[in-house]
Amino acid sequence: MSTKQILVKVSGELYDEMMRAKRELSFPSLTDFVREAIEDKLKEIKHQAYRRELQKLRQGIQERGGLKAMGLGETKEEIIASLRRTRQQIFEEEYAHLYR
Amino acid sequence: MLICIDSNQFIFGVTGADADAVTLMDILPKLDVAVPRLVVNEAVRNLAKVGMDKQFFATIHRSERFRTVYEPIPAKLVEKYIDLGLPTKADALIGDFVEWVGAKYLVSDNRHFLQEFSTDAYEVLPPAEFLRRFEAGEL
Repeated sequence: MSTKQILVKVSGELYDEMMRAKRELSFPSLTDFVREAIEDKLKEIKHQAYRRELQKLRQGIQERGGLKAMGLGETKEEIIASLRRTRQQIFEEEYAHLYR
Repeated sequence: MLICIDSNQFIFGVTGADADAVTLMDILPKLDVAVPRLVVNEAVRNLAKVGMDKQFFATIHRSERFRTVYEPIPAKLVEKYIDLGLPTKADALIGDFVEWVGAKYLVSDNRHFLQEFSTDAYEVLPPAEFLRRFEAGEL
């Protein structure tokens, strides 16, 4: 893994707070502490992007009539049965020739 | 720890039909997930009816730990899962996929997986039990 060195300037107050947190959480060095904090923040940003897309998806489905418009049934059992029919159709169309 | 998720969980989770599946979809980026193309196609085909197939595809692949597997599964394994009790080759394709990719769990509400067959290769869990173990750190 290639590495890059960066210089981060922080206020004296933030530095003291970081050192305190580093000690409390038993990080071996300030570098390890900062690296993990950045990794966590990046992960959080990605999760937020996922949640936004998921929200858009759910909203779009509801606006277009939801499960009813999809015609899959009303109960969980009915929906599962419909999905299994879709599974069978796709299998016949795209996979059956591979598994005769 | 790799898991596989059945198509019913995606549909329940994005339509709000089941609270546990909704939670499962919410935490998707926290999970290492592999699914066969067949599962994604099932969800996509049904969501296309409301014009949300592309949004679904884009959303699940926003999770860096989610992957759709396009390679064909060995035919020998499909036969094995028919022998283990799955009623159709289409189901067996999902059942053997889980073993083939080395996943530890299949999360599904499909009773054919939950009640009518068993394998030593992995566990089939309904979403509520999967979430309970996930939250308890028991996975």
